[in-house]
Amino acid sequence: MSESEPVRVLCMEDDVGVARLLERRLSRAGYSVDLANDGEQGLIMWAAASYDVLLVDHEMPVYSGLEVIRTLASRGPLPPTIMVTGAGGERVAVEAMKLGAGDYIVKDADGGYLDLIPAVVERLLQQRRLVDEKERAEEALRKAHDELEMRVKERTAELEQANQKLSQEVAERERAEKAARASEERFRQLADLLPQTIFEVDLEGNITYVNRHGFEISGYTQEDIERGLSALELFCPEERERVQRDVQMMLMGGIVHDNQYQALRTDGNTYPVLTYCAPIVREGETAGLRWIAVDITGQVWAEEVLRDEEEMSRAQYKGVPVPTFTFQRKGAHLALVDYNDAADAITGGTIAKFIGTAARDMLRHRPDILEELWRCFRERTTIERELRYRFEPDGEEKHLAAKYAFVPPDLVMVHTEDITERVRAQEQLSRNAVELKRRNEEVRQLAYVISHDLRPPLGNIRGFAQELARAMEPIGSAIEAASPHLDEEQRSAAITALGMDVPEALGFIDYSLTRMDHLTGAVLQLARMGRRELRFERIDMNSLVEATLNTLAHQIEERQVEVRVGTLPEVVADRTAVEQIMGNLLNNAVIYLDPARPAQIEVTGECTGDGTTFRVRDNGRGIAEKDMDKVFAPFRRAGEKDVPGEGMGLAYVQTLVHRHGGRIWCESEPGVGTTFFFTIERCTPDGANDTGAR
Amino acid sequence: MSQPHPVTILLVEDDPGHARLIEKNLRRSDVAGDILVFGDGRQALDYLHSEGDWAGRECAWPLLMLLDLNMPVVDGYQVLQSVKEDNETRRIPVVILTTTDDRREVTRCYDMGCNAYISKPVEYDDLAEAVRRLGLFLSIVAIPDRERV
Repeated sequence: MSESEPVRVLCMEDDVGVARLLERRLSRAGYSVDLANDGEQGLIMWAAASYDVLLVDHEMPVYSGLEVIRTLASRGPLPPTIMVTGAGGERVAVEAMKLGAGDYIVKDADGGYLDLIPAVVERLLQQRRLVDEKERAEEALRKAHDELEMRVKERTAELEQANQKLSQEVAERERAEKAARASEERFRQLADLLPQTIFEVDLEGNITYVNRHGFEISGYTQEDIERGLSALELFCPEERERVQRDVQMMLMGGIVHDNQYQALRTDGNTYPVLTYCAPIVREGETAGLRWIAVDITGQVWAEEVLRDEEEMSRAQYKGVPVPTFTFQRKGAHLALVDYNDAADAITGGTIAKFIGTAARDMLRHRPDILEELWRCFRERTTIERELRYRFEPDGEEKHLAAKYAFVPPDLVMVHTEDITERVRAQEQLSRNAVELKRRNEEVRQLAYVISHDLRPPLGNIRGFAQELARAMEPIGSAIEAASPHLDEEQRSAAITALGMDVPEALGFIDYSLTRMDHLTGAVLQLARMGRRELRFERIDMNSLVEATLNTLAHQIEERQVEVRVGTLPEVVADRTAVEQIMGNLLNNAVIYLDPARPAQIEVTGECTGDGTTFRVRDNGRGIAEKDMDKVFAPFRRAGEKDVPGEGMGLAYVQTLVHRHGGRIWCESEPGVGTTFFFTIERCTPDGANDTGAR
Repeated sequence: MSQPHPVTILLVEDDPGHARLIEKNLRRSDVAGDILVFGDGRQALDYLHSEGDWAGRECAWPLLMLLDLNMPVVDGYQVLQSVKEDNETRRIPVVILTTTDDRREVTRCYDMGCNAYISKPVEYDDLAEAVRRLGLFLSIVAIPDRERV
């Protein structure tokens, strides 16, 4: 309700004259007045606009004044309302007042009540203003009170919170202090335990703390620190300038790359250290430096050794005559990363262009080698194999013994050995062996055929010689009968021919045939020995030698031979052959004894690298140097021809020893004695020897 | 025990001198029948089967064969096998007369059906004696006659 706007009054009055009068009086008093002719219109107008005061006549058509008041009262608190009634309308007035009307006026006949109306309206408005003001004051008061209460509550809560926080902080600080004390103690103990020097210096460079190891290694004591000790004293004089410079650098946050210095002890000895240092920060300010000095005497020494070794192995690797190719894993590939001088040579210098090349590309034509490289890498294993490789497109294909070696963490070194010459030599050797075998077979066959085929013609010569001798008998008697008819010359010639020439011729034929027969027989025997199938079995050599000696018992006894037999190793061989070998050697030993001294024969044997070696030694007449090469030759007999035989014994023996994959040789000195040695290869009883091809 | 017809001896021996010596010694033991000498196995088989040089000429019966082993063209083993496998000739007694005394060869020849195996002695006197005794033996053994199959 603003002071500037006029107070609006709605008058409901069915009497137009009265209404006009009411309007005039109220307008004169300064009010804005609207008129309604009946209750219905009045209610519509009241609802449509905003009025400050309502003036209602009771006696109206449609709605009575009371009904209007009742309607408005049912909608909410009644506005300042004045009920106007006719005379004797006090009952209506009371009813209206009960419904909330502010006042009432009773109409008088002369219209004097009209003069009263502005005053009544003013009073009512005054009343209403007072009520409003009171309500506003009360409202303000209540508001202020609420506000106050709220602020008190808030403040209380704040205080409680602050209080709680404070006590938490106190507790926390106590805990932290305790932990800090424990931590410092722990770190101090830890620092003392560390086998490295730790020390702290203040900004002037004076040492404020040294751990136990630091004292021990430097030779200084706590007293030295308390007296004042510069950190520079811990270093050799010639290092101090650098140390100082580096410290400045580090204090400014720089990085020192060479942090290795020569430290000095109180006893004058020095040792190398690696130092690490960091500023000590207290309350945001740098208060000094904390150092760790690691004694690297051992490491330096080890590094030197390692460096030497590395250089040495590098030099060896480079210079070693084994071509070596080094591959390293690069991502998904194995790439050639290095090679040595020998590798350069064997490839004719072509390897250089493959450095950094993936093995897959280098060995595009050799998937087998690539596969082995990878297998070596994957299985971290060493692979050895022989392979053929052509290093240069037009070069010769080389035979290589290759060794793929995995070198942690990611290298594969391929060592190759050029065995081309060896392989060729081996191939030549095996070709030679085949050729030799073939020729041997030919010779043997020839020997067999010669001896075999020679016999029939020999037999014929012998047969016809005897036929001739037989035929001479009738001729002899005929000549004898005819002799009186012959002259002296004829007779003498005939007698000489029959009695001397013919028998002599036949005698020589016979002798030659016998000789020839023995020779062919011997060759046949030798050929048969070379062809006979050997049956290998385990042989107790001691009992075999004993049995052989028994067959010679008569001669041994007769010549008073002293026989010594050592403990002989067992062999796997053909029994008949070994019996013949031993029999021949022992027989020779007995036969060729020297009657000039007491005879001694000794049989010994021992296991050697690839078999068993036997030795038959005698102190017989010995073999002259010039005869040594005839010893094992067929039909050759050394020395005096006073002993019967074909000279085939040792030829047989040699054949048999050879057939066992063994060797036979002899040492001899005339007048001192002879020693025969022979070896029997180590075999398994089924005849397969353990040491190689026969 | 004399044969109705004296036995004809086929001497198969490639060495003519040897064959002559054997023949001489057989004669000395009064072997009366013919002794036919063949220088190789082929000729002997041709004679038995009336082939080659002997085509159209009936061979003599009864027969006995003295057979050497090592011969050219067709050797003694082949002759022995041929004779013993053929029904017409398998009853002909075959005596191996050879220089070889290898036990395996002896066994092999008996396995193949030879009737006797004689190793020629190396000494001529012994050979002469052996052949003479063989001649005596041959003069008393019964030899089957031809039997047409």
